[in-house]
Amino acid sequence: MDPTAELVRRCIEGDSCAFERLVREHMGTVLGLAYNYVGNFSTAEDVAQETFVQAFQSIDSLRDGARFKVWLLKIARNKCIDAIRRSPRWISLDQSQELQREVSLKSSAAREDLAFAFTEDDLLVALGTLRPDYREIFVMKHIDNLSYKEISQVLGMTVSAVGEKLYRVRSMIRDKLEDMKLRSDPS
Amino acid sequence: MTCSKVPPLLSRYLDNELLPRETAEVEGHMAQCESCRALLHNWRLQGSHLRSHLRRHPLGDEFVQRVVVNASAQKAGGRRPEAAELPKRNLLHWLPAAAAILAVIFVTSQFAPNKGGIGFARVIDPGESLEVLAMNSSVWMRGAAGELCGPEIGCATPFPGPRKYCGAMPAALPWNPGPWRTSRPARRQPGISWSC
Repeated sequence: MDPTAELVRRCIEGDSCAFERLVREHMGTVLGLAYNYVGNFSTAEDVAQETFVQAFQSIDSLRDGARFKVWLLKIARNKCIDAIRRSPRWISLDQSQELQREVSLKSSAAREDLAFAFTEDDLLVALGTLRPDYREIFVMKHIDNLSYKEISQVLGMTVSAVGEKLYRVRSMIRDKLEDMKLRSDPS
Repeated sequence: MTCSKVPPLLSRYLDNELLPRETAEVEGHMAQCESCRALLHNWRLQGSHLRSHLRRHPLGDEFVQRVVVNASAQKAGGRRPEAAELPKRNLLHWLPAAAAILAVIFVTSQFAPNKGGIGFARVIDPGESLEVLAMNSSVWMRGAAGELCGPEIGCATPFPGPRKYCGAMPAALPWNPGPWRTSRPARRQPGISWSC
């Protein structure tokens, strides 16, 4: 039996140790996803806690324990959406600006200056300018190395759409980083 | 394979989502294309920077314990999960329980003294709690010391004013016997006007 499914089965039977292990195994992923939405770790931690409490309350509705991670991330996503409705923190660029960036992707993809360095802070600034759904899929891919199939199940997209969107997001981030570099160092 | 076709494949290559044949093609191209290697490096760095940022804020034992305690307490308290995540059960399973609850409410409402009465109790002794059973709302309330508890407002400090309590009052306070029960004998709060 899948180890996660076994933990879920034990959790449904009331084994709090099994629940604790599920929390430990997935808390980093849930925190990362929540951070992407709310933009600070303090609120993200609250959202993560709400997510696990909700999961524990309704875990007996999960028919296939092996799908726990996808199911948990769906709950987390709903909690995140509730949280940003209460207090939106990220500021998105105007959508038309992003579309313009997308148009420029193809022409810029083969530039010679792709290997420029950038810092963690640069990345966060670039991420903060993206539309929430772009940030979401990027974070979802990187926090726990979710497969395209898992992401497609959480977000309700096709597997190929996940691949295309991730490509677009990476390219947009790279373009944004390059703009930032040019602005700070025009030479 | 030309550079213009590589980036979309490169993204899937980075995520290990390519077929073996496609992987070989991409690797063959990258062996001779510095530009595409640089692009892959940029994308890898994006992921590693994000991961290292998130790793700086790990959740520890304290978080786990808090979650476990809260989850257990809420489950024991019977708080309902969100409707969308409730298990799909046959409605017929709930009917007997719902009918029993309705019957109890109906019978209680017929025989309760001071039906429709409005009242309140104040938690007087520091460190003690007070339970007020408001029959017309069928709710037990537990207040902290100094709080006033009533069937319309729950427990609150400061007292929001007597206007809330206009209506048919219990004949006497403390409310023994009657619809109001407390964990210890309650005393009437002086200075509160009962007039509307």
